[in-house]
Amino acid sequence: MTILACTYFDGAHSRPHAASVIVSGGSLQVVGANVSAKADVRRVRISTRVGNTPRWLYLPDGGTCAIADNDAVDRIARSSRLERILHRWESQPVLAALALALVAGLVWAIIQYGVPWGAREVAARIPLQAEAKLGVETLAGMDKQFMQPSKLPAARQQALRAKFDKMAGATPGAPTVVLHFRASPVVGPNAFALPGNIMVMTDELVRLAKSDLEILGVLAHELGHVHHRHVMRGLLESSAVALLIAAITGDVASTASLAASAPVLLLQNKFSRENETEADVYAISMMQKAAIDPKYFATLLEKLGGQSEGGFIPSFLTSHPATAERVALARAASQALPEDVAKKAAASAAADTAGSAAAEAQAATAEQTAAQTAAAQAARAALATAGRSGNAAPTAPAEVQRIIELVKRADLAGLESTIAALQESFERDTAASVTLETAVAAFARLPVVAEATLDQWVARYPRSHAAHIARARFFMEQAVRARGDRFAADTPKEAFDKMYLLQAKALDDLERSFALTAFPYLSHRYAMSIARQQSRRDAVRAHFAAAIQLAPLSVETRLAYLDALEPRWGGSINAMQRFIDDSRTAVADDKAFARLQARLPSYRAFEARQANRPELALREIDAAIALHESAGLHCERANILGSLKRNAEAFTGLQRGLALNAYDSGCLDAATYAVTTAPAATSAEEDNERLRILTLVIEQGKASAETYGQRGWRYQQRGREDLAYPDYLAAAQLDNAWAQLMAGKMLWAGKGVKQDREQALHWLKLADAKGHPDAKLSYKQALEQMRGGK
Amino acid sequence: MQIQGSTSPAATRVVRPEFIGSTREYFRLWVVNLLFTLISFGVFSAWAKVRKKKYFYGNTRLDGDALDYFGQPFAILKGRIVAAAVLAVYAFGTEVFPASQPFFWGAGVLLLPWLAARSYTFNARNSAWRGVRFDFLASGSEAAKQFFGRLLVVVITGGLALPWFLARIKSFVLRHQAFGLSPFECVISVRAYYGIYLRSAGLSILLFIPIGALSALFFFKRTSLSFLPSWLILAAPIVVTYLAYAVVHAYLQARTGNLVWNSASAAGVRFESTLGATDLAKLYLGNLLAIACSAGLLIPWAVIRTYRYRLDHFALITDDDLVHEANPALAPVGAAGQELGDVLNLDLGI
Repeated sequence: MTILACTYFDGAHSRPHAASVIVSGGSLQVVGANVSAKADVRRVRISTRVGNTPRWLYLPDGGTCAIADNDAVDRIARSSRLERILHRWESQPVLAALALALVAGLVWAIIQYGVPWGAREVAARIPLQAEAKLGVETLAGMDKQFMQPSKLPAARQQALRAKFDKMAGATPGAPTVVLHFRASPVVGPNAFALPGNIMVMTDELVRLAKSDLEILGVLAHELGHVHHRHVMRGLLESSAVALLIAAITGDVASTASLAASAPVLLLQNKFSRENETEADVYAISMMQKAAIDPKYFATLLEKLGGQSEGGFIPSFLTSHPATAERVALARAASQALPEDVAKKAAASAAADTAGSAAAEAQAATAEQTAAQTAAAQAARAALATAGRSGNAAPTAPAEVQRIIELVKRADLAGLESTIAALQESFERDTAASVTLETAVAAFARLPVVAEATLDQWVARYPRSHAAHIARARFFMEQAVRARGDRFAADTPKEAFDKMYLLQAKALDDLERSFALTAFPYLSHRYAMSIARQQSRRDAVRAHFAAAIQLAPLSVETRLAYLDALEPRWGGSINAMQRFIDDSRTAVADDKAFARLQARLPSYRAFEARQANRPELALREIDAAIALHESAGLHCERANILGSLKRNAEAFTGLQRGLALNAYDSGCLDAATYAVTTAPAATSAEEDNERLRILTLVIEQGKASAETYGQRGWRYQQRGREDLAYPDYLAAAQLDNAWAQLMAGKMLWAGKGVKQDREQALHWLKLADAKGHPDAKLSYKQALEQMRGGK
Repeated sequence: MQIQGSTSPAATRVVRPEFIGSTREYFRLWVVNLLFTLISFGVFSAWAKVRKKKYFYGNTRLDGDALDYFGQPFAILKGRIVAAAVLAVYAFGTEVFPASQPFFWGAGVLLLPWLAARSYTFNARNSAWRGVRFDFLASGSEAAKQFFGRLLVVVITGGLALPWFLARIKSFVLRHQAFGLSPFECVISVRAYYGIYLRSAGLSILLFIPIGALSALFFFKRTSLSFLPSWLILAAPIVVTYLAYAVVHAYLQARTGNLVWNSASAAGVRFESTLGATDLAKLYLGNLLAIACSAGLLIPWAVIRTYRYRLDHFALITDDDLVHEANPALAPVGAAGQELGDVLNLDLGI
């Protein structure tokens, strides 16, 4: 028998009665002053336990009892399993804490994996047709509000569509979309994917793009959105997030609904950023498959990024990833382009810039020759590697690309394990030093913004050798870039200061890295290079000794040491010769030894040029090339031939150098002069080749006023005044008198550019002021006409 | 309205409701509710809602006795499923056929009074005090008549009649509440209601002119403010706007809340509401800050604090022993109406 104190209400009037509940056998009795109720205990409903709130006994006749003693009620109540579980979790602080941890983990997992996964899966199962009507209506709405019909000629539209279809055709399973052209000053340069496989591109974008390949890059990106169903996924994701937030904050009154909208916004931006990256990746892969260099995507992104305000909004608040990150991704993909694809890409780029039907036909042949050169190169590369004792190929684009990608994603664990694994395999077999070195060289290719990620890496893994050498390699490259490639006398003091600062940072990392592994090969290798640049000869020797002990077979280490033995760094020809002779036994294979030997004549050639003895320089460089062929040597040879006025040979040499490595900075520097002085092209193919090289120089940021002027002139010869004018303008802005004259003339006549006599007069005046003979007359005539006209 | 056994009508008492729950206990309840809701893909949310309501009702003492809430989770779940289905149809319908958007909104507005009436009824009938249930006495069609007639006036006057409309709707809702057989009365002075809205409009202007100026300054001078972190320059105007909004919101809530309840009465009972606009604004801003800074962990604290403040500034004034007769004819009602209103967030604000 149980007796419990209660407050009894009869259910007819709101009057409280103090009473007692007596449970005995199967019956329940309520007894008190003026109270007497009785019921079968099985027919009494007992409320569920919630915290320490009173328990209610609902009697079948409508009466109710409120009982404060919860534990006592639990003894007579038949609570369900769920009720007991809930009560246990709610009443025990440990379980509540566990619940809190589980909630945090779940929310994180749902946002990180659940929502994107679910949205992707569901979106993939919704037929595209479901969106068709929406797309049409959206486009109609946009047309009404801020779009106008495109002003591009129909033929131009058709040509762009054809190029786009051709590119998309190279990717199996690419969605079929309808490309619409619109003009919209409000929207500006833009392209977007609408639901229902509709894609819209503005005339402004076509105008902004320097070449059609840039446009194709943007279209490929939009196609990525279509392929991944981002519109539908965005809808699903935002609904899921809204539901999740409602589940968490749903029971807070109006105040918090304000606060709740902020995380929804932030999360939607997170998903949107991820979608953009996904579309970027798709675009890059599509461009690669269609043999289009992804760098064109990068250049257009930069232009678009330059149009909006950069850097003002922190990345977590924006719906797009930072332009710099996206550009870096595209550039990395461009650099990692396999040789044959790169050649084809360059050929189609040349065809595209030329823009004429003849050039289109040319591309086909260029593709063939490219394939042939690629085959020849592959054979050469195979030969080169065959000779090497177990070493991997000197370039491993896939690995480098993967590392750049890891940095981009800030995947610190991935970076750590990748580089640490390479270091480990080097420790097992010192011949793997080349692989390690090539991989770590990836950090030299990173954009400035990558520093933050590398800092995080070092912070997360303070005892990691890999992290320290990676960041050191990064700083070293930044130091080289800070110095620039001008002669010491022409380099401003600030550039040197910046270089020293970055070198100090690199050294700091290297110092710390020595103690972090028993085999700090790369640490010594890099420290040696820096010491050489700083003319610390003892340090060079010490680091060389340490490095060569750790990797006795490394040719790279020896080459680097040979650099340091050059007389300009305080060494001597004799010392170089001795070192090469000493290496004879250490370097087992002939190919590698020849690379060392080639350094001597190539250095002598350098000295001969300095001494203004080009014939001698040519003999030396030929000797070097006979020992070992490289892009740098061929282009240096082209330079020497140029100073001997043997221009035709110089141009051939340059072409050979570029064929070996289109991105060799020595070659790019030599290119403009070689093309300018090269004999006139005898065929369209030859002319295209010259144009292609100039374009390459411009794209690699190595262009001078001459480069622009040359390309402008070539465009003009082809009757492409519209393409010529921007180049003349660029050269004119770089203070080239001749280009100023040309730009002025075009502006005056309204050829290739909208007529603007004021502007024309401005350039003609500048050209005249520099004493350009033709400019004097033109300026005078223009001035007179201008006065006469008024 | 029948008052039984009133013995000493002369003695006027002030009955202040009390809240005896604790933040710690509610935090545990909240987090367990959240966990079970997440792992059950939202199914548990109906149970969570009932437990939460039970916690607050059970810990609220009026004249010494607790309130009781006995809504059935299954009824609420049914409503939630219907609501989720409607929501999904809405989301995809408008996505696939954007032209259908006005249709959905039209249907939503047409159903609004019916949904609101159902939800008031569900809530009232599942609440009781001293064994007597509350009730909501207006049917959906009655509510619709009131609602659309007045809405028409608002549209015709171009919105000028909005405070009048809100005052009328609020008094309509309150006048149809009942405790047992005793209905509530409520006559709101429209003049006073307009006064509140005019003052809040003035307050908005006072607050938003400097905020607008400040935002403009921040935006146009951001280059010279570059010593500040860029996110701060961007976020500061947004945060200040939010804060100003919270202040105006608090002012309206406090003043209209006081006016409505001080204009209401039930058999032998008057109400006294003494919410302070400044207090409420401080409370809201504190909640906002605490929730934002604690990544949501202080939500239970904020909820309890707000509930406590509201309860502390509410009282019943009566010269009667509060004994009322129950309505013997109450039938159970479904939960769909209330839940549809809940998910679509069409809170009418009482």
